Amino acid sequence: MASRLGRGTLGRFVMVRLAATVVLLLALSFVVFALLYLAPGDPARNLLGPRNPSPELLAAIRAEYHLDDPFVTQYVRWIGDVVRGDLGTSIRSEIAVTSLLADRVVLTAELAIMAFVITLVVAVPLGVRAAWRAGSVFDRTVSLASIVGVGAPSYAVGLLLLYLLGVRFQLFPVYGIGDGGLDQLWHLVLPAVTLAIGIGALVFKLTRTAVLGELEQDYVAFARARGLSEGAVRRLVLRNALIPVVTSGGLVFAFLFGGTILVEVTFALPGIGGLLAGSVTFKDIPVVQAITLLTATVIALTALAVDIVTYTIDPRVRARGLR
Amino acid sequence: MTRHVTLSRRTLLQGTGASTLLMLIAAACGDDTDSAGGDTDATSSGGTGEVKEIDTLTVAFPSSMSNLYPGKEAGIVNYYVAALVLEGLVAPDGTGKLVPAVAESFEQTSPTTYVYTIRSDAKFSDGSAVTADDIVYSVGLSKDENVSPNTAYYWANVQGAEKTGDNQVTITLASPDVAFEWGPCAANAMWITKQSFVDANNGDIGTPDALLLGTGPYKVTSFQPDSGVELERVDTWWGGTAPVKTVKIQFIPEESTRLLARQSGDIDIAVSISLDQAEQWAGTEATEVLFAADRSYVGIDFNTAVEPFDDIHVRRAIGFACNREAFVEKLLGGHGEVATALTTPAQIESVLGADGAREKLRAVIGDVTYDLAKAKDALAQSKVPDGFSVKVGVSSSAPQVSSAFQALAQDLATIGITVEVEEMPVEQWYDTIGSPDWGLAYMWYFNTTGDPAELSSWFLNEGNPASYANDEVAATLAKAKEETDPAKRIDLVLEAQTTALAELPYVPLWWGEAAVAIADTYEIEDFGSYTLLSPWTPRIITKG
Repeated sequence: MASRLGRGTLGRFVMVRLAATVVLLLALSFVVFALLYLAPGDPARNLLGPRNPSPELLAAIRAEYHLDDPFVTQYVRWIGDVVRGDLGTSIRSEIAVTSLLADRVVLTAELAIMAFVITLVVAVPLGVRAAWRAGSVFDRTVSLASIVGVGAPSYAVGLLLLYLLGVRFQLFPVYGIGDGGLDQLWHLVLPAVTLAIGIGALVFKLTRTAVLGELEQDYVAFARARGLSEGAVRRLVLRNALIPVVTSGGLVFAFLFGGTILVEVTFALPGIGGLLAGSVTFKDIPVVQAITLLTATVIALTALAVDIVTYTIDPRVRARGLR
Repeated sequence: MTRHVTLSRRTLLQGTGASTLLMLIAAACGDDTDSAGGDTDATSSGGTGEVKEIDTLTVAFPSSMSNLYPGKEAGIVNYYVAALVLEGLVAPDGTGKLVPAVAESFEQTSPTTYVYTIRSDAKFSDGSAVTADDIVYSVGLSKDENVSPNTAYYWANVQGAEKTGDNQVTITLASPDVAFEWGPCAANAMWITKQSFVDANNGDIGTPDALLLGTGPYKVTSFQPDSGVELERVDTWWGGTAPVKTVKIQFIPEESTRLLARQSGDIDIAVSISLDQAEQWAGTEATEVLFAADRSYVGIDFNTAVEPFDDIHVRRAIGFACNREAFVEKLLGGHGEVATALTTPAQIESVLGADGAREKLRAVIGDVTYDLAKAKDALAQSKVPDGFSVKVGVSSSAPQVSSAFQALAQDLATIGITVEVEEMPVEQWYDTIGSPDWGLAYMWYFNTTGDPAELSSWFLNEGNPASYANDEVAATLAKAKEETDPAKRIDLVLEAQTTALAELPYVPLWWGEAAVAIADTYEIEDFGSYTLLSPWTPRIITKG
């Protein structure tokens, strides 16, 4: 086993995938840069708002951020700085992008991880149980609830939760991040639940379908015919059903990390989602680039992690080898 | 031609207790409470409310801040925070008249020379006294387009500031401009700080690490961009000690969440609440809503260099189709006023009073009132008698403007003009202002000063968004720049506007109001147009 995980197969696979990720990020950064460059609006003008800007002042601001340079020059300068570890300075706030992102990334990651854990801890067991008792009242009730969960916009769910649990019963704080530490985690519970509801409903459906699919397989009938205990059958089924669930788990995390915008705005959380929304319309290129690249990196690395996990839990993949 | 503005130091220094502070504010506002915003719904307590110490006041802002220094980021909320921490040489009183702040008096000794005398008891929150050098340095900071891109333009006409005495600074202009008086004001373009403080932070100011150092009643203890600011009262303010010990400012961008936060009692005050939801706020338990004119102007701009808007008959056709009364009544719920000029009433009320101001402003627009028959006639006289199609870009942050254009489009459709309303992010809307691609556009402008010529000096001079040029108008405005008598100056500014609006490059639609929701255990004394632009927590009193 150890040798299989070594350089020959998995190690090489990881290296190739990382190289592909770098190429992907480069391409993505170029596309995003180009789109922002072409989008209507002028950052210098945005900085001054609707007032009478003197041509000299606009020119000075444009010069400071090299906004008048040709597109390629701007892109090459940006990429050169990134390679040297400098993500640049936000045009809107004049704060270095790295320090602008530092706290926000932690917050968004905490939110995404908490929502991820809630999703898995609640949706997967529910899915398994519903599949096991397919057609029962339990199954139909949870399935119906999941349809509502998938359909409800997170903005509406968030406000409903806020009203019920924040205002009506005063169980949770209504907005913001509190005083840091545990208080911050406490403030993230409702937003995380809001995020988890929509995606959890999907994970529930997926788990239920996967387990049901396995239950219909011939090997289950054989196992039962051979007199294997119900517990042993369940372990077999779960292990096989786990593969699509794990694969989707990676996508779920990537989705959560990149999909916090509405929840962050609703709950007044200073994460990267809210920052991205404001930065795109402002054409704050350094900030938008940093956030899209960060999100893309998280998604790429999560996908890689999922493949490694699949490799370890699926003997078929191990036997076939990674490509 | 020497004018001298001063405030008796005895009045100011009778003590440092909070009750004295109220007297002080009453003194600073003058006793003319009538003119503090004509249609302010806020009730004045007349100083009968009891001043109690408030431990923590939680205030929710609708938008976040990424920098605390308004020279860098000049959102209206940046000014509200700065008003508690930083000061200028002068500050607006409740009616929009400039009164001394860190300067105890100022004198205009020639058309281009202003001499400020610094009060001897002005101190920074670190305990050090304010010196003339600090003032000279702070002027330089506001003038520097790298440090203060948002205020540099205001100082373009300033040649320099120099120390002319131990506690005296003289500011010299390149050419006369009475509007300059609003320059060294924390409600507009100057915030006094100290060079050693800025240097110690490597030139940064207003960032989470650098914060601010000022002379106001509070200091910043923490700042998390996009989350909140916390302020702590100091005992170094020359005006005394504020009754609120800690001010917690939270940024809650989602209006519904802000409303829920008020319902749960988490916040005491919400500023700039959306007019659409004012009724919901008013219906919230233990909450009151106060309205006051906010000196904003909303109006149509025609680019007169673009066809068919180069034709005055086309402009008049659209002007006659604007049902401004209905806009104010139906779209703003009555919380606004039909605009008849570029100047807003709150900018001239301190001189003319509420009624006098409106009477003068009403005459500016001339005969352009809602009349579709006249609109049809005007179009018939134009070079496009059969009508035309045009699109207008409206910021998605301006739903009332969008509704107004939809309503206007319906009326214009009856005479053959098709208007297509295109909603866009606010940043994209900036690009439509004065652009040849958008012959029909609009302006939503927040006047930062109480200067009557603020908007017209942009809209009627060279480089204006309507590409409008009229030598007579420019000459009148130039005269207004040098006129030091406030009433005569208003007459000149309005004369220029009257001449210009006869050609209708702009159609004023309405002057806006801002609303604040507040827990009914508190009240804001004399809440008006300028309240949140000078130290405002001393105006908050506990009821009963």
